[in-house]
Amino acid sequence: MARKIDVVSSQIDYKNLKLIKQFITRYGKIVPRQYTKVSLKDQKRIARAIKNARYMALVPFVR
Amino acid sequence: MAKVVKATKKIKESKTKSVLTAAESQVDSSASKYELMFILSPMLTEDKRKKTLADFQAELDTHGAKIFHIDDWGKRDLAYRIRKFDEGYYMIYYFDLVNTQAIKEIDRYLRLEPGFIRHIVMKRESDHEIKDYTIEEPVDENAEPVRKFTKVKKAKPEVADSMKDA
Repeated sequence: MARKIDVVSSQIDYKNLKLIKQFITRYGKIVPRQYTKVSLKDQKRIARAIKNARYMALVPFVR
Repeated sequence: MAKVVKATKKIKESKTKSVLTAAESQVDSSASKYELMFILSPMLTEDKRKKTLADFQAELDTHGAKIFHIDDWGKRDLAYRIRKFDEGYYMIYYFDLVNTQAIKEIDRYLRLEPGFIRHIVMKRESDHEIKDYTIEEPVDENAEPVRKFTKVKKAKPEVADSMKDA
């Protein structure tokens, strides 16, 4: 399930649903870095963005 | 003579004005940028929603917040049920705030006020650009990707051939 994802650091945001949906599985889980191949810094930002988006009910916690 | 007096008065007025603007600009430099997103109850009628928003803006004004942008996402489906609601009215406020302690007060207001289902406050860098991610950017096929992932094929060592011959 290797899926490299291109990402622009400045576009990582909890409102950017198009980007966030690429980084969650169909069960709503955050895709690990070994699959996404993004830098550690970006992965952490993405994780933060996903958690914020979950709180605002933009993406589900579980499915 | 009277004309002269009037002229000086005008100068004085203009001076005080310029001083005020200078002070204001100084205040701006020490202000922090905030982004506040909240979900309003879908049960609110249009009038009630307008009233809650007006009250909220009045609350921001009392803390000296300067709103510079408002995003209205409208009614959206929630990803999961909150307080038995399946949808919510999304709003995003962007504002400058000098008194950073006031953010606690604003947070408290949003927690206590009925009608607000959820909210999130983000502190942003001063050079933060407001982007609307809901609009899909036109795909420019000629544009180069920002980050390229290209496999570099290892060139076969030429030595091997010469070794074979030998």
